[in-house]
Amino acid sequence: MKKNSRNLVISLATAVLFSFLFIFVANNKQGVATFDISLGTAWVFLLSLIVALSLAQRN
Amino acid sequence: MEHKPFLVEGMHCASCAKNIENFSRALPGVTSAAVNFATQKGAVSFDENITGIEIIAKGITDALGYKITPMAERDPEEESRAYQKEIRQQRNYTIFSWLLAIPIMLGTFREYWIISSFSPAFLANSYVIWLLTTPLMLGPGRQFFIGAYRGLKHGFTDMNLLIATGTGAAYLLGVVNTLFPNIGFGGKEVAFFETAALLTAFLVLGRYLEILTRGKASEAIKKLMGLKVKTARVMRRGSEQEISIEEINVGDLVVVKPGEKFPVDGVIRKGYTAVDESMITGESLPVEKKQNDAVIGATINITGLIWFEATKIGKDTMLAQIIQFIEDAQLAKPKIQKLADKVSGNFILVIHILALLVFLFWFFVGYSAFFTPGAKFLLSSIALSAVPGSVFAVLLSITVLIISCPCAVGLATPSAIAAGTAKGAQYGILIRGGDALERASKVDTVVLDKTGTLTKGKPALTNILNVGSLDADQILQIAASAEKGSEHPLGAAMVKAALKKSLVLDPISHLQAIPGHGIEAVLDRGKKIYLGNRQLMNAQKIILSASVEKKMQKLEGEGKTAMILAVNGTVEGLIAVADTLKENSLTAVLALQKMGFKLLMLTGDNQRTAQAIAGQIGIQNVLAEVLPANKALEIKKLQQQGSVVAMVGDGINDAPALTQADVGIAIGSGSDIAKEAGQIILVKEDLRDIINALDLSKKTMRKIRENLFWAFIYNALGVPLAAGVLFPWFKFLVSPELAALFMAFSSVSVTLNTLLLRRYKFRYL
Repeated sequence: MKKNSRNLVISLATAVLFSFLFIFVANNKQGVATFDISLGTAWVFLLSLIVALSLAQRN
Repeated sequence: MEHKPFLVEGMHCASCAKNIENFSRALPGVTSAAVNFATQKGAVSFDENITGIEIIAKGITDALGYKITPMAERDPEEESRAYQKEIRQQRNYTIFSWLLAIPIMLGTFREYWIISSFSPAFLANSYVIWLLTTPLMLGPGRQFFIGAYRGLKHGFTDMNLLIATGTGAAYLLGVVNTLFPNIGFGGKEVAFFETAALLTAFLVLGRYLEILTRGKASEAIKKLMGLKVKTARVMRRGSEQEISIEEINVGDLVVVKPGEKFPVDGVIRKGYTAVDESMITGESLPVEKKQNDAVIGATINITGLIWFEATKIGKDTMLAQIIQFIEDAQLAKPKIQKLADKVSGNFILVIHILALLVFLFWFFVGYSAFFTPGAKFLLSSIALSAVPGSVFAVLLSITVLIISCPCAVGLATPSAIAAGTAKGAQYGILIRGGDALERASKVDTVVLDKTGTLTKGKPALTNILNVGSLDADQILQIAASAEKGSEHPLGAAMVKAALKKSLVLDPISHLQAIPGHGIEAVLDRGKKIYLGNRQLMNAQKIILSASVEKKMQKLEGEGKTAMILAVNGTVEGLIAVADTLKENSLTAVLALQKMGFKLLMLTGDNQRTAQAIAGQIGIQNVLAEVLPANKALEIKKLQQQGSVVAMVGDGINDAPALTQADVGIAIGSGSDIAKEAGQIILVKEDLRDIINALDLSKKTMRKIRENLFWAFIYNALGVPLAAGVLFPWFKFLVSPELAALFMAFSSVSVTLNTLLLRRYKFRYL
């Protein structure tokens, strides 16, 4: 369980990082609406969380 | 070291099998683990001083959530009930899903074609569609979310997560668009509920079809298990008693009436009958059995009342050993599987990375560069012109997630191995799994042991030549009378031949064996007999004429053992005995040569006998006078020359050579399957089964390659299509629903292709 919790924390941190990166790039792109950024952030967060979890699981 | 098989419940994809394997291997004391997704079975090897099967099973269940039942504790009926229950549940889910999905489609597509003429207007209301979609997601769709949650909770990701991500995202988009139509995600026009509903309905249908077809993979074992007899009539305290099969002890005298099955393996003590052994050996003709003949449990006593002594019970019976053999075989993976395993093991990661990249591309670049208002999904009501770039990118990302589930890749190899090994077992050809199949399919050289493989292994009378005043029958009668009490195989051959001709044997008043030479005997009628080789005759000063010598040499040139019979000092006849070819040796050798295999005969016998036998069946390459211990060395030499060698021999005596060969084929194993060294075991003593086994291996490997090709090509074409690679030119896209349909049918098509192996017909039956 300890390993799982650690993996989850690391994965969450990675997903948050990626989401911020997404927001940063999207905000700097012209013509991107707020709702687009909201939806995109949610999707990027979800996918990067799963990718990070899969990677963590392999180690 | 212990090796224990187990059943797995709750696996839905190849990555589940991989997860269990990886988890088990990491447990203390476990040295190896294998899980077959197609048959839902697995096995672990472990150090019994460190762990036990119960501990491992509990570990897997606690950590990963799959139910593990050790094979020893399984109840075949319970197993069958559980499988039927799973089929019923998925069938009900499928019906329920489509009962809801159809009105959802009618409502969503109301604007199209003639649907509006029979679709009531209220169905198009997004709240009604939401109302219909929700039970579909909470009912049949729940299994994907529970599976994904269970996986994440235990720290692993599987196919459920892909599906849950895709359907969950579509459903949430639908809810947002219905509750907040002006937020900018396309509004009520593009509710996305039908995407979530159809995705779920197709995926549930796929799962149902997959379970149905997967069940066929383990059907052969279920059939074999169904052969088991439940009760038996045993003689106890002088009377017949009906007892359950578990209560039979070794040594019990069991009574079997005509039409009944032999409950366990044994030896006939009284009675004469014909036995149908087709279910075990594949032999279609009934086999005659008399006193002291062995019988196999589960075969059918056709004609006579039989009393037999039980010699093997429980897991030692041939049927139990065959079942165990096939179950182990279905877990042995060929090398080709490693590629599929790598794909299955990494697909969650790769696909999510891919989905992320697809989203980022269409979000930042693709939408603004390539999107035009006329763009549309194939077979979808979603008006793409109404959705913003973010939703468009999410939809493509979802489609990639759904279309790339490599269930077909996961099923390709294990399902074909299960079908191939099961097909072989039906006809008495036991193949020890994927590795053996793969190697057998590459064989170019077949090495055949002589004695007991090409020949019967028991000398039989071949010639009687009269050189004096006695005729052939008289010569045989005298020789057999003298040899009556002899245990020598040559003498036994003569006695057998005389009895077959119904000759009456004379009593003997004196008998003396002269080792290495022959025998001296006096018949009651006063005749003094010498029967043996030249040395015996020389020692007794019996002169052999030139014509007798010439006949002797001719017989010996044919590889036979010739003996001289002298009666009262006069040579009366020559008797030749030889090991004879098995019935189908010639057919098998000719067929193997025709198929292009290089053939070689290996024997410990002398060069002359070996050449004689080889000459009879047309084998050019002969290695004679090879000691049993050196047979393996000879095989090794061939391998060093680049040959892929199959060695055919006796499973126990030729064990080192069978092990050295790329494929060891043990023939006519009797009932000791567990002791066999070969990777392929031929239950029947029919050499033509070598051809059947090699051919079946080739066909199975071809099936595996076909399956892998189709599974990979499906993903290789499907993923770029889903990612919108063709969109800039053709302006159409694969919708998530269509992706789900493709995915469902990819695994079904692979399994159906495998099932075609069931129709494979052996060349020789």
